[in-house]
Amino acid sequence: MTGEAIVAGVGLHPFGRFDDKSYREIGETAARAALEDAGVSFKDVEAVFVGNVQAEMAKAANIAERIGLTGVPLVALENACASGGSALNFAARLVVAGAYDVVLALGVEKAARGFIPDCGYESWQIESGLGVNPAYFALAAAMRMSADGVTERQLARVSVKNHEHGVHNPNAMYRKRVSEEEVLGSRMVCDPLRLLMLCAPNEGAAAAVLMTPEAARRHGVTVPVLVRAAAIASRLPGQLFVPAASAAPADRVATSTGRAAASAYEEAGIGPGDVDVFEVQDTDSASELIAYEELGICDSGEAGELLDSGATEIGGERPVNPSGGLLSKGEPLGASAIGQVAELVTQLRGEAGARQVQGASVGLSHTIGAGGNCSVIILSR
Amino acid sequence: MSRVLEPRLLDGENRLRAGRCPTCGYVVFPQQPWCPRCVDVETVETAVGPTGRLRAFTAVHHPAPGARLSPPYAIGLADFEPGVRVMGLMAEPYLDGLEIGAPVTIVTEHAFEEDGEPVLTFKFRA
Repeated sequence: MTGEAIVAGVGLHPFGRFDDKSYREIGETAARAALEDAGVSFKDVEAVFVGNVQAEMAKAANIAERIGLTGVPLVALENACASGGSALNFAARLVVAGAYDVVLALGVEKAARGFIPDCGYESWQIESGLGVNPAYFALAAAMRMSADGVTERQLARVSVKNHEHGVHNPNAMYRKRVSEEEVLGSRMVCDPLRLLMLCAPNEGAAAAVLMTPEAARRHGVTVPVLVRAAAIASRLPGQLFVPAASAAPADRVATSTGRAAASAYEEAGIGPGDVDVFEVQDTDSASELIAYEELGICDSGEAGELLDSGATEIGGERPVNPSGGLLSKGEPLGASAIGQVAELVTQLRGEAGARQVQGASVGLSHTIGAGGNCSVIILSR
Repeated sequence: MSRVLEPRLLDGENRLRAGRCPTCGYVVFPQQPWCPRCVDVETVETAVGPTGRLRAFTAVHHPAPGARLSPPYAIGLADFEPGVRVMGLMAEPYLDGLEIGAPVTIVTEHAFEEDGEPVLTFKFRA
């Protein structure tokens, strides 16, 4: 980055089910919470980027109307599960470029229960039963089981870990512990992925106020968190990801996670060993294990061992998903990445209470969605 | 009368119609006119199959949005010459007897019914 972008404030609407609320109110809540946390009025905001997948046209304007119609640029971005990360990426880059002093990045979603529809499949895929997101993740899990010896118990353990973390997260949807036996006894969805190994799409919002360092000083931001890197990488030919019908006949190809992470580490001038806390895309248990490897937290083929060592629990050497991850929070698609950023900022401020990763000073947010677009954001105190 | 769900996918001899880049060799299915890797090179139509090798499989137990067949059914990932991994329905709906690495053959079989008539699509038979 040439200039700098500071995360001056963050805010959330809890993730869950809110049948009596529209996405407008849910988004408004998170936006107001972030503005208050940053100590600014919406009148100070010079641009708004909204990450969202499924809401109607005019969504950014409809949310802004409840807060203020100030005539500033309002832009909604869709990048599947990386929508929020993309919104924050654009907010950060424009602050760094000196285009704006104060920008609001908001992620919001009101996703229906069950399988996510309209993920970009062709009609023949959908009609013939191939347009099934969990099937892609199940096939990836099956390949890791055959190639690397990942076990069903390890898949269950990811869920146990993240649910344990989620017990301490008042904004998560699922806050009860689960045992390995409960996970292994839950309904099979797509072999080997069972219900408790898969996240549930749900509703929620998260927001961040980004500022130049000078604006942050002016507004009295006491604990500035710096955006060290913000990368987006899209899929190269050869990687299998929703909704592609084919890929290269190879297990290890360059993936968008690997490339976004490499770009982010380079931009930040650090390596994975320098990151104190990770929030990654645990769409399902196997996806978290795959992220350990593709983010460079461990070597290829060693994700199961890393998990079993306890290193990725709060208190371990490489804590992953202290918020509880998508498995415990649920997944309001557009909100996820900014929710991760809110968690990381809370961690870096030392305000995460029972979820606190001691001494956290560098955090990484990772989300990847349909199409294979991956957002990686690195923050530091 | 039966019909094939998406005729452009198959060549009538149980081979998939893919595109191969004459410059880099990348194979894309379904076929598309331009190589996504080279960007400015046109693909050449190439027949894939009918024999391949099963890399992974899973059984779907929950109805998916818009699917016109009911679970349980199995989905496989199979590798074919000249270098492509394709996702497709398995001809067997159950996982018993399926093995990673097993040879598979492309077949054109019943996927679902439409007004009492069968709609066919490509499947992998192990």
